[in-house]
Amino acid sequence: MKTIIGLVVNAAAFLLIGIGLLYVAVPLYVASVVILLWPKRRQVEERKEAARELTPDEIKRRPVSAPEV
Amino acid sequence: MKSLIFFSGTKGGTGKTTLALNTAVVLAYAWRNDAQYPVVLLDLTPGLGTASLILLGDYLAAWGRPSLSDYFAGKISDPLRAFYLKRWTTDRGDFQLVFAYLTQDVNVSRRYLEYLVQNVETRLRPKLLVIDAPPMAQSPHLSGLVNFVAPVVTPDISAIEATKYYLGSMGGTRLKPVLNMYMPEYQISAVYLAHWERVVERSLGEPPHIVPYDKAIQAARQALEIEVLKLRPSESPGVRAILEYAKYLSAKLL
Repeated sequence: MKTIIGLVVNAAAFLLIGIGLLYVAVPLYVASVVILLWPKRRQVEERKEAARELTPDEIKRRPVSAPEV
Repeated sequence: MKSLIFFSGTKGGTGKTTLALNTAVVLAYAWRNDAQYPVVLLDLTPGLGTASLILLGDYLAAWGRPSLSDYFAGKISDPLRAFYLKRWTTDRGDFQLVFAYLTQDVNVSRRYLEYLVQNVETRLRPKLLVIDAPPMAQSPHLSGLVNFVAPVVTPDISAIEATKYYLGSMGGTRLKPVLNMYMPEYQISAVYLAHWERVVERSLGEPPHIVPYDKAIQAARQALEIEVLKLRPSESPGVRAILEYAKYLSAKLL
C-alpha cells in the first residue's frame, strides 16, 4: 500500500514539474522518496535482527546467572 | 552417593562432556541446600579435559597444582588433595561444585580408582558423582563402577552402533539415551530410511531425549563458558533440552 502511495506521489511530482510547478514538485518528490524507502529500511533492520547470533565475546561478558530449573 | 557416566562407547565428539558438565552444574545448583558438596565431577580425560579447563577458566591454572595424575602416578597418597572447589554467586544464591582432573596421561588403575571413589563417598559425602571419561578405547576400566549410564549419541550410525555395542559391558542402570546435535531439517537416516529417533529407539531400547544442534552452545564452548550459566532457555533450544534432561536425572537418580 505504501509503495503504491509512494509511486502515485512520485508520479504527481513529475507531473507538476511538467506543468512548471517546481517549488511544489520538489517537496512532493522528497515525500515520495521517503514513503518508498521507509518500509524497505524497516525490512532490512528486521532481517538483520533475525540473522543476529550470539558471539563468544558477548557470552563471555555476560554475568553468571543461576540455571533456570 | 550415586554415580553417573555419559557413555558413547568408542565414539568421541558426541557431547558427553557438555552433558556431564552442564548437568553436574544444574544438579549442584538444584541440590545446593541438601548437601555441603552435592555433586562431584571427575574428569578422567588424559591431559586437561575440556570440563576442567572450563571450570579452571585458564589452561595455566592447573600448572603446579596436584592433580589426579599425581595420585595415579603414586606421587600423592591422599586422592582428595587433587580435588578443587568451584563456587558461583548468582542472584538466586551461591552454589558449588567439587571437581578433579588429570593433567597428564597416566595409567588409571582400577584399584586406585576404587579407593578414590570410596574416599569421595565417605569424606565429601556428595549426592552424585559424575564421571566424564574419554571414549572407551582411551578410558580406564570403569565397568561396574558406576550406578547409572546415560548413553549419548549423535545422528550418526557409527555413534549409535558404537554406543550400542559397548553399552552392555558398562554395567549399571541404563538411563534414557540422549540424541545430541539433532537437526530437525535432517530427521531421516539415509541408511535405515527411518527417523533418527526411531533408529535410536530400536538400537538402545528407549526413545531418546533430543538435544538439538544449537549455535549458541557452540559459541559458549568457544568462550569457555558453562552453557546453563550463561544462556537462557528462551534463546537456546540446546540449553532448554539439557535443563529438561537434568530434571529427568534429578527425578531418576534419587
